[in-house]
This record gives sequence, C-alpha cells and structure tokens, in this order.
Amino acid sequence: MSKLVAVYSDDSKLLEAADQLIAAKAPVEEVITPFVIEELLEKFHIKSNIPLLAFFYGVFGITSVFAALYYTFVIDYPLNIGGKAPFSLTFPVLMFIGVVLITVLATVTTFFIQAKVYPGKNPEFEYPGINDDKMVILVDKSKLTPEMEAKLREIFDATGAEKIDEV
Amino acid sequence: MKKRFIFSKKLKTISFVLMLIGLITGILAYSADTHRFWTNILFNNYMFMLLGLGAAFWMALQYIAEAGWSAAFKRIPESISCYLGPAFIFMLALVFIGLKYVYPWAAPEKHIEDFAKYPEFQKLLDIKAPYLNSNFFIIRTFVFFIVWLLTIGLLRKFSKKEDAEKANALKWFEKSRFYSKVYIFAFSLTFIFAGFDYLMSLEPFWYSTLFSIKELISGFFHASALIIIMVYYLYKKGYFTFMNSSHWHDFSKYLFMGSILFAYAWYFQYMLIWYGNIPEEAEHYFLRRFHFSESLFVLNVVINFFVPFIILLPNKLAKNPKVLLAMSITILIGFGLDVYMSVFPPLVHTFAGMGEHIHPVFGLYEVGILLGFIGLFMFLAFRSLAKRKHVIPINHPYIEESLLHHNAH
Repeated sequence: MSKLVAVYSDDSKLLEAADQLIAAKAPVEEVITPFVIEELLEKFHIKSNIPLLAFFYGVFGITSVFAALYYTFVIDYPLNIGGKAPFSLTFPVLMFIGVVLITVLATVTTFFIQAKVYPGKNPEFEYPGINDDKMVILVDKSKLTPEMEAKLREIFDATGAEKIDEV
Repeated sequence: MKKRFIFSKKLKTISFVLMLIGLITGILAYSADTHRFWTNILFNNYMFMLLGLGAAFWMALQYIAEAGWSAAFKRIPESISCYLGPAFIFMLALVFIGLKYVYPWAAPEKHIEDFAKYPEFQKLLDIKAPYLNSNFFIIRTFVFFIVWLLTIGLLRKFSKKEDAEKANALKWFEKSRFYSKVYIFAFSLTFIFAGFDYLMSLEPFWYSTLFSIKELISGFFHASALIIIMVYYLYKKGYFTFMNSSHWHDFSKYLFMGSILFAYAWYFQYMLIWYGNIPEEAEHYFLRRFHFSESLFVLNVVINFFVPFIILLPNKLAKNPKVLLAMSITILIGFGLDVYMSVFPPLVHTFAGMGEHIHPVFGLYEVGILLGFIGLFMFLAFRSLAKRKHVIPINHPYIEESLLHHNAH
C-alpha cells in the first residue's frame, strides 16, 4: 500500500492545505501533528464522544467512591475518630481524589480502545521527523486517479510543503 | 460599530433615583438605628470595594497572562474599579465616626455586661490591643487604600497614555504588564490584612488565617460575574458587535473556574474548623449555622457553587449569553448573601446572649441602602466608561486578536 506524504513544519500552512484539500474532496487518510490543532478537527468534522463519556465516568466515580466510603465508614465498621460522626464532612476530600483517579483511568482506557492503541504496539506508520516537529498529511494513493494526484501535488506545492514523498 | 459609550439620560435618571432612595433610607436608618446604619454601610461598601478590587485583579491577570481575547473588554474592569475612590471615603467615614457602632473591640464600654459575665473576654482584648486599636486601624485603612488607588490609578493612566500615543502603545503595554504584577503582589499582601480588619475583627475573639484568602477568591470570582453583566449590557446596546460564542465561552470559563475555586475556599475553612473542633474557632460557624439561619448558610454554597457548576457544564449552555447573564446575576446575589453572612450575624448577636437564637435582619433599610449603593456604583462605572473616547481600546497590541478571536470548540 503506497501513500502520498506531504511534510509541513508550520501549522498555518497545514491549515491552508487542509482547506484546499477539503475543497478538492481529496481522500485524506490521516494527519499527524506534534500537538493538537483544534481547527483541524473542526475542518474535518471530527467529533469526539470522550468529553461526554468522561462526564459519565465522573458521575459513576463519585457515586461508587461515596458508596464505598459509606459502606466502610458507616455500615461495616463505624469507628469513633475524635468524637466525629461516622458519616462526615471528610467524605468530599476522598470523593474528589477518587473521582479524579477513576475518571482519568477510564478516559485513558476509552481513548486507547477508540484509537486502537496499546502499550507496546508496533507503529503503523513511520516517517523521519514525525515524532519531532514535523506535521504530515497522508493520502491513500490507491484511491487516487492520476489527475487527482497531480492536483494534490500542486496544492501541496502551492501551500509550501517542505517535502512531497511517497512511502 | 459605535465608538464612544453614551451615558444615556435614562440611565442617569435611574442611577440618580436609586441614589436618592439610598440617601433617604440612609437618613431614616441613621435616625432610627445608628448601629444598623453603620452595619449597612460596612456591608455595602465592603461588597462594592471587593468587586472593584476583584475587577482590577481580573484585568491585571489578563495583562500578565498576555491574554489576547480579552483586550477589547479592558475598559469594563477599569470602569468597575472606579468605585474604589468613593469606597475610600465611605471607609474613612466608617473608621472615624462609625467604628464604635460596628466593631465590638473599639467600644468595650458598650459590652460591660458581657465582660462581667465572661471576664476572660477583656483579657483576650487586652492581648490583641497592640494590633486591634483604633489608631492603628485608621493608619492601616490609609495604607490599604493608598496602595490600591495608586497601583490601579497607574494602570488606568498607562491605559489612557496607550490610547493617546499610537507610536508608544507597546511601551505602555509593557509598563502595564509590569505594574499588573506589582498590583497583584501589593493587593494580595494588603488585602490579607484588610480582610482581617474589616470583616474578621467583627468577632474579635475568633480568627482564621484562611479567611482573607476566601474573600480574595470571592472578589475575583464575583467581579468576573459583574464584568459579564456589563459586557452583556454593552453587547445588547450594540457596542460589541464583533462578539461571538468564543468570547462568551471564555467568559463562562471564568465563572466555572471561579465557582470551583470559591467552593474549595469555602470548604477548606469550614472543614478544618469542623475537624479541629476547637470551641473558639467553631463558634464562628456555630453562630451562623445554628443560631442565625441554617437555610441561608446552605444556600450560600448552593448558589455560589452547585448552580453555576451544573448549569455551565454543558458546552451549549456555557456559550449562551442569556444563560451566562442569568448565572452572573445569580452569582452576584450569592455574593451579597456571602458578605451578608459574614457581616450581619455578629452584629445582631451579643456575647452575653451566646447560645440564643437570633433572627436574620433584612428590612426596608437594607434594601434601600443597597439600592443607593447600586445607583452610585452604576453612575461611577458608566461615567468613567463614557469619559473614554473609545469603548474598545484602539492601540492595544492584542486588539486584532481579540476582535477576530475564535476557539475551535
């Protein structure tokens, strides 16, 4: 499987290229950047359900931590600590810490499942510089007609791509 | 796009009518119950003073963070902080005339019964006397206000210079940035003591080192709510035609963050005192929660934390200006309640009557004087806004970024 690779090092140029690629209806496969470019997500209409899921993880986390605290401190083993009531104001502190832990772990797990990555996975795509400061646009060559390919190369050239390559 | 803010006749009449109501109820309250009059002066003046300081803090924060999006709204915190001048005058009146009516440590002769019943109170007051005495209190009031007025005045001066000299705009911006740091440092340092003086010394036997931090956070949080209300008003009047959902979203982030910060500050003080369970410390909350009003005590956290937190959580609601306006008004009511819960309970309670139930005082005098202060505040803020040639700063280096501001989400 061969891919057309355009390398950029300026995000504004990349965004310009993205605009023209969308206008030309190019089959863009992937864009790899060293940092999040939110405008890019908006342009390609990529919406994530992770924020909503994180909210539900938070609700689940806060109720489960509360239930665990209530069970241990009130029902199972009500211990008299300094004359305080067993069901007490110290709960929010532990609930806060617990909810952060549970939400973060669950969200990261969800992200791993959605992106189909896991620790120790072999890289799907390698190119010099993409782990550094280079941004690349990948286009699947098998879906391109020769005219389309020429047009895309023109777009990449016009928007100031550092390098146009094939892998 | 309109350039200069026009202080309309209607608005002027409204503010003058409000001030007149305040003046009349003030005179009535003074002749009927001097004690209650000075309590109200402290309550209202402290509230608007804190809003002014918080707004200046908001503005200084924009400078030191080099925030681009907020450059166009710079005039609004500037005009809110204009209240500090009159706040100084009211505070001086309070310090020179009303001190004996408000602060129990300044008038021990009024509490002779209490001291007879609890002789150790006099001992405690004697120990605190080197700090809590009227002369030092007056000196401190002068120091606080001179520091605040000087630093905020410098920021305003630089802002005016920036408007006047297009070629030197960057130089004045850099100076504003530096003096923002100075303001934040000086304000945090002096306000710790101001909080101890003006509110905490209402109960001279109680102290908490966290108290002023909570007040400082509350000032910043509630001032951002007031800024949103003023921005909404100007937006409706057609001054901020460039505004889009990204601007509103950034404003709502301040409310959201502030509500969490406020709840945190409220909770750490309450939790630590509850956990420590030392009678001298717990008395503060015991008075408010069990002898004053438990429902108001709980309502304070509900209005200032739970309501804004839950409503501003969904992305769509957080970008809606009408929701933001409703939230800001709710939060400002919560601010009133918060200061009310600080100021009023110790003043309607006597030491000898400890353990008795007391009723919240809120009558015509409170409403009238509050309206008067709102009128005065409106007049000062809008007048200062109308004095400037442009509502939107013209030579600010980040103004373009602010006008074209756009967030991806």
